[in-house]
Amino acid sequence: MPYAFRPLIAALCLATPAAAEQLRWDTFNGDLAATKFADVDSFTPENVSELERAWEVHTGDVSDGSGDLPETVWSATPIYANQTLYLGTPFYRILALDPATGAERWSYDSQSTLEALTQPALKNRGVAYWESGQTGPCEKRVYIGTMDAELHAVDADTGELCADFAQGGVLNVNQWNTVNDIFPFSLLQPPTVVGDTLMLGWAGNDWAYSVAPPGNLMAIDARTGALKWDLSFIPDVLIPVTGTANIWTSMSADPELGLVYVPVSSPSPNYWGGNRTDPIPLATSVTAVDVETGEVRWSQQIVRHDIWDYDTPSAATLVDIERDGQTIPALVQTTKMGFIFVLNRETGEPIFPIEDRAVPASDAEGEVASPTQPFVLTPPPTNDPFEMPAVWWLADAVSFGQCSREREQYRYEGIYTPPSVQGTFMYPGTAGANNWGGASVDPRTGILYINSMRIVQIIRLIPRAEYDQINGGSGNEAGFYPQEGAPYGIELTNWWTDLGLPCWKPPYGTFSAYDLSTGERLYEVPFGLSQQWGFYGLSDWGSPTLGGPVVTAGGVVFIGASMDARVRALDAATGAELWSDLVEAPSVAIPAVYTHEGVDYVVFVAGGNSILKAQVSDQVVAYRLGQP
Amino acid sequence: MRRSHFPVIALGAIGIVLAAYACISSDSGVAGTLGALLALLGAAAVTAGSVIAAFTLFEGGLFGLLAFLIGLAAVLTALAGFFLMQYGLAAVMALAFVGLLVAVLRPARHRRPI
Repeated sequence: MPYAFRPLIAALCLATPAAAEQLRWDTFNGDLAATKFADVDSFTPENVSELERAWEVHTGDVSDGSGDLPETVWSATPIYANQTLYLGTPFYRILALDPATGAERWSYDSQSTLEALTQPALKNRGVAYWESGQTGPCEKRVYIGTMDAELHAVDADTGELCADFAQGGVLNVNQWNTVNDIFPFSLLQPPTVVGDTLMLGWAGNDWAYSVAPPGNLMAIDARTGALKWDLSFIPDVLIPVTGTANIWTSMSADPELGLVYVPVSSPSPNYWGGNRTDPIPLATSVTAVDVETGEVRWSQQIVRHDIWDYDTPSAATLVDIERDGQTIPALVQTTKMGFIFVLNRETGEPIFPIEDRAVPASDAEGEVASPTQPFVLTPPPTNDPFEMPAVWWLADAVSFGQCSREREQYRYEGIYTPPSVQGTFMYPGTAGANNWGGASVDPRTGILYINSMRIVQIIRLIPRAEYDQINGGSGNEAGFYPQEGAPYGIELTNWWTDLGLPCWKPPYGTFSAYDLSTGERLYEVPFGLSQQWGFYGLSDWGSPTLGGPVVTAGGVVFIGASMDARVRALDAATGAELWSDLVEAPSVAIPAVYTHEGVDYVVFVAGGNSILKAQVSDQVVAYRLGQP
Repeated sequence: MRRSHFPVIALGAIGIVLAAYACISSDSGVAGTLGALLALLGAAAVTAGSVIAAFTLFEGGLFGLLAFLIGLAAVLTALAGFFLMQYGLAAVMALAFVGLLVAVLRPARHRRPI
């Protein structure tokens, strides 16, 4: 090349816009703001149908529950950091994979007990990643929690335990389980890493006891494992009679504000609150906590006196939105109820109105349901809070009117109808409209993307004496849960015909987009395919979903989540399906999108979850666009 | 022997292969499900019924009943194939139903005993 041309060529190269790249996907939600936004523009509605499998891995860590081991439930977001893909498995192992080939670089086995100590399955939602910014052994670390509440820290390059972390690399979190310690903690959700601090919650034994360990948030030094501070969400005076209000899901954080946003769950027992009629303002809330001190800066309770187990299920999504000519630092909290709370993340003030509305009273012994609850009607809820879906004519016909009869039999007066001895329709069901997948947002446009499910359940309070006769005094048979210490056990079932058909009208799941600057819903379409006994429903019926979406800069949404075990690409502008691929089990994890050595990948974990259907797998599949 | 039933037998046999694949292959999306098993039984019923129709001397009402049952099995299996997203099976069973109609509606002089 003539020397004189070189500056011109260089100038042209510099003038060419750099391709967008996603060089990290290093938290459960992709980033600390939980946007689930991937800054890659190579995947477009026009070309995404050309996706091909780049590699596929089976971890070997799977159980369908038919043998000695409990069933596995695997919802791990793969972590892309340090030029490596890290996965936690439901046998509490860490796998470090080559992001381009899936080849194993190293693995680490925590040797966790494989008993269902708290939850009914071996669950894992992945690993956490931290790096100090320095070089040397254990300056980059991967953390995994275990069923028996150990937090293991290993070197991200070698998989060797980091000896300077707690006791030889293993922190026994259960050492702090000293109040109402009727069950051990379980660490199923990886900690959220904020700076040099691990924000850690835990999972417990739901629906089993009235009095349970009080939920707390622990701030752990990422290097040493020392407890910096902890914050309890139950008032001290109530701890002898209740518990939980724990954090079992992921969190988000704004390092500039120094705040971590904490999704707090409901107090115990979950479906009767006669033991805890005094206010517990931090329960079932989104609460902003100072990262350095553990002080509560603000809190928004999303359900008062929660007797529906409507936990705050996911990390709030943080995004700056334009409204009335101003840029507002916003927080978007999706919920099990289908309400979308949009708050100023600095102050907690609502950006769209929160209305107090009267809700029905309880007729259960000792229960004092809150007379009002907060409703958010802008943005429109994903699920109708005032009216449950109508009886489905087809199910009613084939069940000879069973659905119509039951619609008259059970109590329903809107979303917050209290559980009752008569039986109460619960809509949305206990898994919620939205769960741990949360929402994704394109920070460039302020458009929010969310999948939701429409499941109707029947909750029945069973007086203790009757429950003990039905159940022989022990809990956790399918549908029955004891709430020991309360005057009632419960039975919780889906509203199905005897043949297993849903009694309510489809769709069973939708996918929606919202403009956060106006609060307007841009579209809502049925999403996925439901499946029963192998038979698929029609596309208009949609599917219940667990897991969340990822939106990319190219205008494509990637999502698994549906019960038909397919992973999909959607057109972000319309919600239309552009591509799908069958995997071995429902992909209830949030996918990860990353750019490795100049190539963009989307990777799905197909682990399954019994809430959707009894199908499990240990499959990980990465996709990339086909070679030209 | 009623040779006109041979295409239905052949289509039924292809249906068995396709339904068996759906039952056992993890690529089918319905492996191990009750629905796939029912589809396999349906294809087997179409095949077995057609064999009986082709190689026995059933006449009159008995033959009519047998043909009706084969047709019902073919239609239901085609529907099952459709809702299992096994479109090959659905198409084969639909063809088997058409073949059965052709076989039944052909003039009786074409039917010969063995």
